[in-house]
Amino acid sequence: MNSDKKRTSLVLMELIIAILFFSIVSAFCAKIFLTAHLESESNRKLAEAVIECQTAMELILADDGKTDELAKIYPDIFLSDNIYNIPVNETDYILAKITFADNMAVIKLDYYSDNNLCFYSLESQKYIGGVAYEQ
Amino acid sequence: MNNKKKSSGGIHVGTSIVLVIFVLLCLLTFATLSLITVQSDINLTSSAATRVRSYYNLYGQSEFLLSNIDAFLNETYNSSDNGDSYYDVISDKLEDTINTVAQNESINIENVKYSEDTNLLTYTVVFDNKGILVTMKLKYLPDKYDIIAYKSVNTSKDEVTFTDDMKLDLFY
Repeated sequence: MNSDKKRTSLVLMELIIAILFFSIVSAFCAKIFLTAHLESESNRKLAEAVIECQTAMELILADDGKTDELAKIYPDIFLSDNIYNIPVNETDYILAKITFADNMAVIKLDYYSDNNLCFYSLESQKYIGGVAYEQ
Repeated sequence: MNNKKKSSGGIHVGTSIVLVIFVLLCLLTFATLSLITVQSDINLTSSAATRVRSYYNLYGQSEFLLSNIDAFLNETYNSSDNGDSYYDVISDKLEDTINTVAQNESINIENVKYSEDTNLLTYTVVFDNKGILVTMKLKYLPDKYDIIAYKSVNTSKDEVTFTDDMKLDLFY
């Protein structure tokens, strides 16, 4: 009878220690999983921003600084205060500033997220003074 | 004489702790693996983002240089009486002009070379181990040149080395 009591209390003690240990380590693991998830989300957004900006930049460069080709891919594009607003999806958009000076088209793209935070920018220029590419 | 063994029933001492340790080891392994994957994804995406940005900066610099070369060729073409004098001025001054423009605009440029035999001008605009190699064939005609090559090249001579940002910090 006495031995059974001893055994039960030992098992209970072990269970308490196991649960405590489990709680501590699982909390630590949960933190790691959460960090991984959040970083993965921001990483996905950055990758999307890079692809969208690159696409927009290539279209503008190929079109010598014009936006006709761009409008075929992004039909919702609109001009406001000399800055093109290119909606990418429901929340994200690209602001494209194109200026022309001395036969150069200077293009600056800023990718904005849903919280109006610019987290990627691209800048380039194109000489539009009659370059002849060999076919 | 009662030799019958009592049925123990319930959990044996030590079973639960072994089980918990096993589960926690699995959890820790998967958590670490997910973090390692995300970290390597972040490194890859960040380096891709930086590379794309520096490529377009490089492209812009290359285009700026091209505009200056075009202006120089235009001026030379208008002031030359014939093809011989045109090519003479080009072989005398073109390389210096390109180097001066690059120096004034802080453009890193390498291997500027004009070949009188083939009338080929070659230069590489370099930034951060990457470069754009431009090859153009000059001609004594109103359109002045044909661009033969305009391609991205790797100018790095170093081998890949491991840096501190490649470490994984689990306790941040």
